[in-house]
Amino acid sequence: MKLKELQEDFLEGILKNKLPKSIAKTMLPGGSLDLEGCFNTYRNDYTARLSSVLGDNFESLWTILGDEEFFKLTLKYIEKNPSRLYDLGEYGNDLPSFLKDHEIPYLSELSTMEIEFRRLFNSEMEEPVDPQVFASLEDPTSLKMNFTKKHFLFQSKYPLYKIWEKRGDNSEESFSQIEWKPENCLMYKTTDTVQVMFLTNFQASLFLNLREQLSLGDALEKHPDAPGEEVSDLFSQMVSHSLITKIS
Amino acid sequence: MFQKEVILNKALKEKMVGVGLRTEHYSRLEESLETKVDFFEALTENHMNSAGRPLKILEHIRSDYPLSFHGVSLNIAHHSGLNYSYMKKVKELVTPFEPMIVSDHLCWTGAPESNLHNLLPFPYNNETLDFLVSRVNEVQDFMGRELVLENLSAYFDYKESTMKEWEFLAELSKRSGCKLLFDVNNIYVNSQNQKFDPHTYMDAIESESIAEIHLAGFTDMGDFLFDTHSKPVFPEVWNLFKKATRKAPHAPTLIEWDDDIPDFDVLEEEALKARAIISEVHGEA
Repeated sequence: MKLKELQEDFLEGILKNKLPKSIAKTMLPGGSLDLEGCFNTYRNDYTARLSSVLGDNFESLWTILGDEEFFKLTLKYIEKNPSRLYDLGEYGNDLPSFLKDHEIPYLSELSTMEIEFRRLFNSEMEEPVDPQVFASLEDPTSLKMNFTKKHFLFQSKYPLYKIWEKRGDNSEESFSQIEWKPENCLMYKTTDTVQVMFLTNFQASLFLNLREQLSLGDALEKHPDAPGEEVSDLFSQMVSHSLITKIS
Repeated sequence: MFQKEVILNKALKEKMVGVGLRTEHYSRLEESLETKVDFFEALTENHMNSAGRPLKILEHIRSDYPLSFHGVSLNIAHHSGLNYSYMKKVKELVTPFEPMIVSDHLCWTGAPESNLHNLLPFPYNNETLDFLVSRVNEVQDFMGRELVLENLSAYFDYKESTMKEWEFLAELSKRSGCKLLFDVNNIYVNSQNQKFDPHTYMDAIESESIAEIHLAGFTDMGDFLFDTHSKPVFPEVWNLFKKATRKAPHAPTLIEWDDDIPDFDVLEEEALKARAIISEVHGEA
């Protein structure tokens, strides 16, 4: 049996959970394992490794679903999504689309939050604009801003961050303390750690307008009833949290 | 051709003991770099896609210690072509750290479209030997350095094998110029599972071809020994280690622990046991 044929058959057997006849013919099991036992050592190791990474990467989902449901879900995911990655630690990035029709409606968004948190955690920091620059601006309404790429704005009907924050805590009372209301959560990394800022609906919308390169004046024109306090609060937070990396 | 001698001979110090760098110990090491070990070994894939904490910890450690890198995804024994984008990333990651050793495993791990993330054996015969010699040269040429390959633990052999694992390793090293990462725990595990004398294995390997020694713990599953890296080194493996360090005193020794990872102090104690054995074997006080 040639190397190519042998490797293709072995791989197919692992993915389909069935010992191929060609492999059974050539395999000399170690210890006192029989052929099936030996093949299952590799098969079980494959699913255990990928399940374990999904458990590490999506702890909030594990907390919500519990052991049994979570590992049922990981097995289904693994079956449909073989890893194409050399870094096992990144496995699971297709989970949001896999979960989009799940009966728990926020599970897909929550898995996106896990992925984005990890992306931000592993990202390099960017140099912000010196806050002193803003103090000397004569006409801020013409200001256009670039934000650090190390951010993600979650706008959800569900309190995603508050759910995510409870990961690893299996007590019922912990979840009963969550106030179930929509949430705009800006997750970002401008220091060594990933941080969050909660925005009102208006602030989230203004932030998106500014991110689309509208000037502050043009963005505010889209919100004629803009509450002044919220505007200045958003602006001062963006400056003090070093979210702005370039102005023009 | 690559410059074979540059990295290993310049950087390797005799009788060094080190430990594998694991996420569980980042906080301890960020707090203080004071340890009793001589070097750290990073798992290449854990650091290659990060500019955050996993990269910072390497820079932090490198300020006080030599580093080596140990990969699991080279997939050198798979019949398809080498993954140059992976090797490029490895090269970019490791070069600034001037590592003592850059290693991976003598195995295949899956196909490009489905990585099994497991270290899989292949038949040891002339066909695979020729193939691997050419592959090793390709990797070494690209990386511009000597490749170090670890002998793996395997739970079966193939009827297609026409030579013993140790014969294959010795010949591969001789013909390609690659060095070996001598995993003593894997030798012991395979010797029990595949019923051979581990001393025969160790005797067959040229001293000069050993670049590093690995030690770890296995799990006795009842019907076979499983290389889990989840326990202290077993007495039988410590005994074989005596022979390994006698054979290759120039090779640094590393303790690996990947599952049920204990506090750093426990890992450090294992490294100190290795150091005590090295001293005993080489007649030092």
